[in-house]
Amino acid sequence: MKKHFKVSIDRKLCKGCSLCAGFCPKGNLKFVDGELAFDGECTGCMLCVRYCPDMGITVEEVKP
Amino acid sequence: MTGRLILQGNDAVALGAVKAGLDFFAGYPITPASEILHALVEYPGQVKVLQMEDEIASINACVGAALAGAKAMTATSGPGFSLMQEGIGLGHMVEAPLVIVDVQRVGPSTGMPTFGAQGDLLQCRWGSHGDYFPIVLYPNSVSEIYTQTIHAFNAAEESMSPVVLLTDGCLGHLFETAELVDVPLKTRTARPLGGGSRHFTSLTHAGDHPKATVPSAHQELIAALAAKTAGVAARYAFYEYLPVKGADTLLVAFGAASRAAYHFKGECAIFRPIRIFPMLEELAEIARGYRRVVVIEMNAGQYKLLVEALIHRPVGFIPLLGGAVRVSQIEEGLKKCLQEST
Amino acid sequence: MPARKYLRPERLPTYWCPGCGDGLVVKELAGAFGDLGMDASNTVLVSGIGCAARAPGYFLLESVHGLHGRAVPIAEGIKTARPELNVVIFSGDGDLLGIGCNHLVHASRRDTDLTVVLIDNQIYGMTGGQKSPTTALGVKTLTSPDGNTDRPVDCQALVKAHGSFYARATTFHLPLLGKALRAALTHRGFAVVDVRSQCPVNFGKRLGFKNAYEMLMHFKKAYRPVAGEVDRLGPGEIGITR
Repeated sequence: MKKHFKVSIDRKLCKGCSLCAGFCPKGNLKFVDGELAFDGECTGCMLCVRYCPDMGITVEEVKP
Repeated sequence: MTGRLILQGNDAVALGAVKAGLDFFAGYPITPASEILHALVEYPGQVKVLQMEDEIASINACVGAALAGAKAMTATSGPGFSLMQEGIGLGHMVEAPLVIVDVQRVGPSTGMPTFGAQGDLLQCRWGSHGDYFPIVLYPNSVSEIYTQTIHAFNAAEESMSPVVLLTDGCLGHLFETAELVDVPLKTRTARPLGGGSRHFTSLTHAGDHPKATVPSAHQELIAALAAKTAGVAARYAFYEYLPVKGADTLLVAFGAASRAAYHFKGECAIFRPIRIFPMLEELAEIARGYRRVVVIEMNAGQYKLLVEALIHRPVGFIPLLGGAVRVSQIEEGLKKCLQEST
Repeated sequence: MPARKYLRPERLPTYWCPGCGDGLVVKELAGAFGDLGMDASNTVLVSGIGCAARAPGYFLLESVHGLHGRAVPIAEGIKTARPELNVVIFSGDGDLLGIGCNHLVHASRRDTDLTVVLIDNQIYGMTGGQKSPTTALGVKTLTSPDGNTDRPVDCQALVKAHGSFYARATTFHLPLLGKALRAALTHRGFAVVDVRSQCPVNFGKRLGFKNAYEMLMHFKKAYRPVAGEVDRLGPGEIGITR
């Protein structure tokens, strides 16, 4: 069964370095008006979490 | 160990330190202080000794060991003491109790390694950058070196700060009969490293938090350091005062120079500060009773400057330079001082 | 994540610039602590001065943030006085291989049981981008406007000369970094993990990298992981030495 994930960005911690955006294989993390935003379907690869130097992203599995 | 022994000053430092409960020593060989390192390697299982690559490493290792709960000490002479200055400031900033022994030799620079001097006084007080308030003790006999070493450890424990024990090349290598009188020991109340989440930082801080851009935090930190050391120093107000009937001259001398000054105790009063810093207020009080105050020291006028500032009047000065401590030199100097002030 | 218990989330955001590699190394070290089930009450962090030296402040452990270049002797004092403590050092290339290089060499000789995490970004970042002891030849920095002519320090050669543990990783190769940290933490004796890291703000921009991601992609291309344990890592190789 396909898993679903919720991506949360902590605005207090995000410095806008764009490492997560670079590593997201789906290109789901983008800057909109200078602010990081998530849009799309997350595969749960956790690369954004691992490469965020500021502990500003959390990805949780959600039950559909 | 107690009783009477024939010892050299440097060995008395080692014996006093062991008596005080020394756990850790880090040092680098240097004339005329090396015998302290030599003596301490003879206590395996009791004193952990690290021979470091330099004096910078030595003082920093002592700060680490002190925070880890050890009674720590290093010993050096002028060139090494100069290298240690930044680490001494660190010790004050993170409140690390430790003892630094400076067996002074003739400087500046390499100077005269085997000859004693008293040229590190101002460096003791202001050698590291910024504001700090060190306790500095300076005995003048092998017996007193033993006792004052123990006092230095006690003052370090009570003030949670680096305490300097000054001696000089003359005293360090002086063999004489020593009476080893013990002093009750102070124990640490601060918890050693581990088991918590404290952050000891060399930055200006408030508790665990760096406050490197907050002027009020720095003002509070410095005021707290000053108050703490002043309170502890008051319990270590050691000095020797030898008044003499009818004398109008007070000689101020310490360490090796004071041994030569004793020659004049029949005609002049003598004040010998043992607690060199903070300066003794008692000197200001005692000096009032004398027409003339003359400082005798083995440098070009360091303590003299501070005595003048303390007693608010000019003082006479007899420098003993180049390692020579001669009664004849003091005699001549005194004659000159008498002429100048009559 | 289990590593969280070693960290202080209340101290976030970190002091570092956007995209700095220091945060990545902090997370990997906390992860390695978690993987090894290390006792937080028995672990002490020590650092000198510089960007990397601010790392201990983000750990929920006892820590000492000392003087520039002097983390190693402070740590040696702690470890000698209390051998039961795990002592881990955070240092940068300027701190460890510049002002403090003497101590690195001698602690390695003494084989003091310490783990050194060297965050090597090849620049003095905190002070504005001056050339560092590891800046490559020919590279332009604030203080080498015509290209650096000083040969970089070979950290591996210095510590392997005395048989100490040495591993190299980058902030792109995070699984390898984690493995190297675990190996260093369990090594008895002096251990150095040399982490090639990025300073996007005070170095990367001058080099022509648009952001931290481009710098990590450069690490991906420029460094080749070596499997198993080798005697020596060649230039451009990352991995663990014997």
